[in-house]
Amino acid sequence: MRGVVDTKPTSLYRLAFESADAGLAVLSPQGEWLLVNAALAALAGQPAAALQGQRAHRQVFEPAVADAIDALLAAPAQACAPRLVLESGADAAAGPARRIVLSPLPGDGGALLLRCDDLTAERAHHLREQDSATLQEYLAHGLSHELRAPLRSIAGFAARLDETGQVAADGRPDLERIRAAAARADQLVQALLEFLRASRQPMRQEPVDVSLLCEWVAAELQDRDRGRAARIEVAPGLWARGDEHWIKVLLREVFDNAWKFSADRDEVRITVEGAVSDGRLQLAVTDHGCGFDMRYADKLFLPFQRLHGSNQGGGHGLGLAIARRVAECHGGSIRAESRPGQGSTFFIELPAASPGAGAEPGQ
Amino acid sequence: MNQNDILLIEDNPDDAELTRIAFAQAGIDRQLVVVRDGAEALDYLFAKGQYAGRDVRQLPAIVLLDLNLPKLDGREVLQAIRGDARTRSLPVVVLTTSDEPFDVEATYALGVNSYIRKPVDFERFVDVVKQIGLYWLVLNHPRVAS
Repeated sequence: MRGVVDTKPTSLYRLAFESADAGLAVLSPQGEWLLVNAALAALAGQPAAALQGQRAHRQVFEPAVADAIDALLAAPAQACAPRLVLESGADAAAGPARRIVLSPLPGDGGALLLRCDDLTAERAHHLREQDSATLQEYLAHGLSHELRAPLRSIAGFAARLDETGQVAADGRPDLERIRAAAARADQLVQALLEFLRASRQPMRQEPVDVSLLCEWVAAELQDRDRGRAARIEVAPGLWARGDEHWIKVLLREVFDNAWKFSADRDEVRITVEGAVSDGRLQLAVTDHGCGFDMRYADKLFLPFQRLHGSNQGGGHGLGLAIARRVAECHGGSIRAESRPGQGSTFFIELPAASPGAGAEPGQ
Repeated sequence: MNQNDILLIEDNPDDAELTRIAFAQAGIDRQLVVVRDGAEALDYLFAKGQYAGRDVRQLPAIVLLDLNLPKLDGREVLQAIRGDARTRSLPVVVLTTSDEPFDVEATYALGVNSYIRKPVDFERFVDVVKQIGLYWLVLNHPRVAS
């Protein structure tokens, strides 16, 4: 049997007031604290009994806040007195971070309700976000300036040794390894910067010709890998709404992935199909490469989770992570299905746009 | 064709050496004057300090500027060059390792003529240097000295 609830309204009001998460107090027109709930007593660090009957704001809040409360109390009573919102502890040394709202209660009595919230967690969260943005800036700077400089020295002087013939024939493969490693590290730096940028830069919102971008990205891959037979089929008239630069990056990573894992096929075959439903463009990019084991499907889009070794075409391990970042920053998504040995299909969802819609709707 | 020197502002001796080699390999037969920081670059351009005896009218054909420099950084050097009537129209090419959008935009806003990222691959770097030389030393018609 559960307890018997006292259903008298006054008891229920009292219970609700007492157990509210927010710190609450009812003040007399003269500023005496008539009622104090448990949350406010906890914020003040004193028992409710020690606050009641006192002008307790003078002992609980920092002087500037208490003065502002007294100023409102001293103001002539108005039919619709203004609400007062104060924040304390903007400077951590001055006191704890609190938001205080003082508002008149209805009726003729002139009593006021004081509400006090703890902002400590909110402020700390805000600081952490600022810290994270600063850290990302340092990281981007470190990568783009400080790490690339020694890489250039390694690559440059190894090339120099190679050209001047100062290294005997049996040492040249080692020199080639040094150069190749520097080139890989450079590609990794490039990819890390792109990964950071995809998270930090705001995405534009414009109609983007996805069919054209697919053809463009395919042409770039064919240009890079001349002599490779490729059959690329892209459905015409696919339009998304978003940032052309970043959607191209997304498609490039997906195409690049398909291209790499078709290495053991006679030709690269990539098909792009799409449909619009509920204002969303659903793209399907299908390849006929070596595919992947669906057991690892959730790892596919995580940074540095390679499903294939470098001998199978594995790259810097960030390509699909970048693709997912871009899709998500557009409010879209990406996932993949595969049958090992038969190929994979990447399903990309993006906001749709109508063909050639240069203007915003309604313009 | 402008026969003046090329001024390279570069604090990293490895990079300075690689740039020198790349210019030689690209067949650009100009003297490459290397200064190590922004303050020295301005001393050179305005014939002050250790360059006090230099003829200030003898400006380099182009200035190759790294962004990350000790003391005065590349942006401050660029501001000083653009802020002085004698060097306002001097061609300045930023040659740096970064292609972060922030760096690129901030540098164009300060009036740089060109922004080029140094590729890590050396052969591509020689190629870049060749093109800089062809454009700024051969194709581009320099301002007639006043």
